[in-house]
Amino acid sequence: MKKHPISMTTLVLGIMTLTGTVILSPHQSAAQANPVRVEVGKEVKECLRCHSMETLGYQDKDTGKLVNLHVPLARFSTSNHGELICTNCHQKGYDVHPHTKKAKAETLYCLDCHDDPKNPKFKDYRFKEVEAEFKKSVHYERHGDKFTCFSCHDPHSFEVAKKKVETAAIIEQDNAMCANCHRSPVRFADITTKRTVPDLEATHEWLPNAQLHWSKVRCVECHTPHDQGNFSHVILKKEQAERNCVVCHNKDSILLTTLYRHRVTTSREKTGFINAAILNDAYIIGATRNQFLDWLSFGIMGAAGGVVFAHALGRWITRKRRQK
Amino acid sequence: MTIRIYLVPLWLRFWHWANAACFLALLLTGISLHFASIKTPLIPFELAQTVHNVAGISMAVLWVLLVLFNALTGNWRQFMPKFKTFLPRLLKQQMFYGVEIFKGADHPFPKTKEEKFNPLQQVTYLGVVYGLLPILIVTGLLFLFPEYAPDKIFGMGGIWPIAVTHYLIGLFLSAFLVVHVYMITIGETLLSELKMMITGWHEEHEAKPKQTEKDHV
Amino acid sequence: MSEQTKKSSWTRNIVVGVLGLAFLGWAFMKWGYPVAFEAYTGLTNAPLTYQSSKVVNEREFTAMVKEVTHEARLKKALAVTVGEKDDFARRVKTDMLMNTRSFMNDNVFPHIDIFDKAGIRQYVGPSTCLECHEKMHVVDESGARKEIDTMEDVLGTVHFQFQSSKQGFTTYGYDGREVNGEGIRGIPVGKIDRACGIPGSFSWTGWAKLVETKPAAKNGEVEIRSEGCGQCHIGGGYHPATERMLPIGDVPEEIKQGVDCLICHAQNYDMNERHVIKDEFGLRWNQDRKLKTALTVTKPTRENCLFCHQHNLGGDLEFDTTPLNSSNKNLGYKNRRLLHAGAKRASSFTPTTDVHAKAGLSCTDCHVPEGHKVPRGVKGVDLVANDLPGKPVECTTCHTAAPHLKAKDRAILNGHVDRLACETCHITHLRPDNVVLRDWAHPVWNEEEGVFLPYDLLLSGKANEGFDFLWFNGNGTFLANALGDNPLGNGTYNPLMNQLTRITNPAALATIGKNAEKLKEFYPDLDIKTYISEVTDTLSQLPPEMKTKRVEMINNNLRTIMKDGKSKIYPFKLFNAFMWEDMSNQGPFGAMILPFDYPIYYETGKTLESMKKAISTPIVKRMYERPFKEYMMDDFMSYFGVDGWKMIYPIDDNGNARNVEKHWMRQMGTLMINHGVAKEGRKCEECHDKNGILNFEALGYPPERIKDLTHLPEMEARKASK
Repeated sequence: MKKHPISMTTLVLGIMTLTGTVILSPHQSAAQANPVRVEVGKEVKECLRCHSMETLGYQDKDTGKLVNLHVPLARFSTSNHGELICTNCHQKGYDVHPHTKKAKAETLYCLDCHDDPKNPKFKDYRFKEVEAEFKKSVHYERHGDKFTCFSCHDPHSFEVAKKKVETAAIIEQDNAMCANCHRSPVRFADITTKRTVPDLEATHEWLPNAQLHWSKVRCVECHTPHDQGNFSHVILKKEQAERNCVVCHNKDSILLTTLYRHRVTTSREKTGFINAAILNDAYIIGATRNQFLDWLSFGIMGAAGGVVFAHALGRWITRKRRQK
Repeated sequence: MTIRIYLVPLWLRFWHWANAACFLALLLTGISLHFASIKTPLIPFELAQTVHNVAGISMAVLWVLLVLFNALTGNWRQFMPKFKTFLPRLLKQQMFYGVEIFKGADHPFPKTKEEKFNPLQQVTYLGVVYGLLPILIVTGLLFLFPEYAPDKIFGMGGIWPIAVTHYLIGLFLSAFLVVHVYMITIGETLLSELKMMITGWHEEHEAKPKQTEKDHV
Repeated sequence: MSEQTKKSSWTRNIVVGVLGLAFLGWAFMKWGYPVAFEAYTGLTNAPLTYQSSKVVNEREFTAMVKEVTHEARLKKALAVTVGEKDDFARRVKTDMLMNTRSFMNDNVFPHIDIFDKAGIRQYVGPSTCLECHEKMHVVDESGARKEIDTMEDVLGTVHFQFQSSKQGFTTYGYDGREVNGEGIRGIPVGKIDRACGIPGSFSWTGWAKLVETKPAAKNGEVEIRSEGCGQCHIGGGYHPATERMLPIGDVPEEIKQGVDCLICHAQNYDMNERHVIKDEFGLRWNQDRKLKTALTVTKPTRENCLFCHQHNLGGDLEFDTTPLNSSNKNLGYKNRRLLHAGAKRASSFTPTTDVHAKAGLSCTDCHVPEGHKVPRGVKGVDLVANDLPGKPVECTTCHTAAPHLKAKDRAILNGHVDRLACETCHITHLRPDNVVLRDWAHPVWNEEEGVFLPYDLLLSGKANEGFDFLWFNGNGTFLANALGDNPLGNGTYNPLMNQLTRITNPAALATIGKNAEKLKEFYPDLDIKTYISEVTDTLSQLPPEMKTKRVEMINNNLRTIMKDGKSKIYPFKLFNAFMWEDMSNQGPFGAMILPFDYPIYYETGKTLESMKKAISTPIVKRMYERPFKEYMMDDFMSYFGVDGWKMIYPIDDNGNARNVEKHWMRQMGTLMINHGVAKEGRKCEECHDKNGILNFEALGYPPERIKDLTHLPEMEARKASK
């Protein structure tokens, strides 16, 4: 191998010095004017040095509200963003500590990254369509830009339903998003500024077994339109919510297209159970039926009726003979 | 000559008709719940659900009362078959219903105060009242309070073996209902058994002896 | 006799029998019990009278009112005459205004009017207050308002009883059981019998004493001084409400009338009345029952609490920052109280030393009472009973979990709240007279006071010397050792085998060495080497089998409790004492500490004699007998880590001490420090430095984490830029 005029060592040292100068020199010269900053953000653990502190946060001077800066690591690493590093999203001013003034001015929006519908990774998620749907929802209608993606979705811990194995986990995560405001007088009053949070038990009094429903299906099952695919973001006005039981409690339950959409592809008719896929998680009156048992019921009732009819006929035919 | 035996006390009649009403309601609403669909005109889902719950609990209460009163009054003995001669007698009764009845034969085991039921009735009612009904009721109550159901039965999720059991027993009892309603008509007259269940008295009118010339003197 | 009459005579007999028994029982409790009590415990009760409680006539009353309202009227008048430039004119006008009817009637003390109208011209005692205040209203935790009997409320508080046998101690015995925990038969524990390295552990032995001192200034003349635990008791009896410690019985009515309402409620309470008096029944503490004082009653202020609590906060010798009427500046019209050198917690609560005191807060702003019941908080290390065990007294109640508001680093500082107590950074030092090591067995004559005083081997208010940092989850051991564990630790955190049993700080060691040499001047036979090694390595006092047992007991009994709950790093004042101990009752964590009789100790310095006199008090003798053993001593010793109480009385038939030895406690006691809060907290580099005040290794951090904590990139960068 021909010896290169610049040896590897020189190259490496050169780069190091250059980087070093680039990093340290502006700080050294501005040491008096600016606080001393160190570089962070190359790895998640560097940010987590502070952001794993559970009580990291401050009271905002303008609003007086507590701003919580804690990022729960366990949930982040299993979330959809788990493979990213912090500075992939938090770019301006966060790559040094103490963070610069630019950091506070950061405005993040999901579609900053997720806007390319042609990107195969994001295709399934239809972000642009979701944005359009959201704009039709009652949340956007009532609160406009005050209501953002982050009002419901915590980007540090969000796990898309497809990833989850247990239906119960999906229901828990999704319902927690609704409950976060709709069960919190403080947060509800925050966003709506006028109204007190309605009592969910009272508004759902018409629903039999409301508690059981809340633990077995998601709010959005009834509060979004059914004809718009799997994860519609059009949260409807409460007057438009579904009240017809039979929409779920029948053979062609809509739950198959929503909560259980990922199960539909699994084997169905093996044991003759319609919607057997759901059976691992729930028993839904009217939706989870067994074809064979249904045929059996018709058969047995038919047989009983038949025998009775034949016997009656026999007695009628022999009535004269019996009277003798 | 008329034989009148007081066979069905008031409490038993009350139980019978109350239970019948509950069972009918449960049957109709049960069908509406199971076969629920947007298209077919069955009883609306919420109404069916409420009625099914109310009637179900009523039936549970009635069953307990029946067992209690049966025990207190000694009526429970009516349900106990005499094992020694049971099979030949059962066969005889079967033959009556299947063959002899068409020939105009009389009931081989007429009602007496000690034995209200013929062998077939005895074994059927025993199975229904003390066997199937309690299972139906218990599975129904577990539906109402699913938290008391075991998590898994034979490795399957706890609730639906209960569901299948409830459905099948409901099915058998519905078939029983059809046959039972028909069997009412196999009395002295078409409505004599029904009358007995309303008044409590069983009447048997013996045939008037034919008037011969000899008697007219 | 017919059946009927037989039956009725039986019924009659039974009814008479029951009534008779009931009467006998009542009669016994009324007349028999007090006699039996006195005979058994050797403690007296008698009607209590106070010389300061005098009847006043109208003239005296008016003069009193004028005196008491003088300051307030003056302040008000001066505010009005502030525009008057001429001094003389101002004085005259101010004087005129002060004596006008409207100024006289504008009473800053509402009880002036009330007493005047009610015609009250003598403050007799509680009965005077109870004329109107027999019942009072309290709002309890759940928000419910209820009416209670005032006297019963007061008598049931820890301030009166000095103990409690109910659940609510945040203390665990070395046997792993929660003291008086659920399902455990509760025994009376508290200040009345708290095992600690001080002579007052058993309050009866030194309740009210008169000491003959020979101060240098008096040239050989004797001055009698007052001493005793009773000086901080709200009652006025001859002993600490012992009846309430026993399974049956209550203090008699005459003792109930000895409750001092005014010391907490009167703004102008005269601490010079609080001295020991001798009457025909024995020694007890006098009280201020002047009507003049009673006129100034209000809700308790900071000064009221500090009359007694100054002793264990800033200490008796804090003169510079305490007000003029404070207890340490008003020792008594006669039999002046002795002041105690060496402060207990040495954490001062005055406007100059504490930010909350400066803000004008009073004690009850944080220790919010319900009726007369005052909460300590849900965290505690020592065996002091708590009136309201579930009620928190925490910084976060007002300051929330994000208390830092202005600093640039406020988010990170708030982040520390999860790991460090507020006190760790905001209480940066204790007073320099904080006593850490006190040798009671080698008293030294003090010329100025004219008494023998215990020798303080180490006094320091500095971090790592006078106080140190430990993990704390809110619970402590029976001998006041903080329990907790490092949540990220590697299991090496074991203060009861490490930092609480050794003194390694170089500055502390130097002082100890110097002071030991000085002590040798008074005790030439003192073996300095052993002496120092015993206090700097307390486990060396244990025989090997005890040491093994200790390790076992910590692992089996205390580990789970240490890991319980949420632990944070708190600062703790350290304390150890050299005392006589009853070695018949010893365990791996110590032996039963024996009290001293104050007069003999102070006057002669003969510690053994003093100890023997103290344990000769009848009630201590009773402690060594079977009834007390069964009633509470076995349980007490189980908490102490000793297997059952041995009734081997430490004095034999010849009057010689039996099986007693002098020892330091086998581990340092740790006391919570919560007062003396500073506005500015510690700086980052005080801890985040390899020579910082936190000993990360001793706190159970693994080596990589220690490296991270002591080499923060930000700290390095700051250092580099300098």
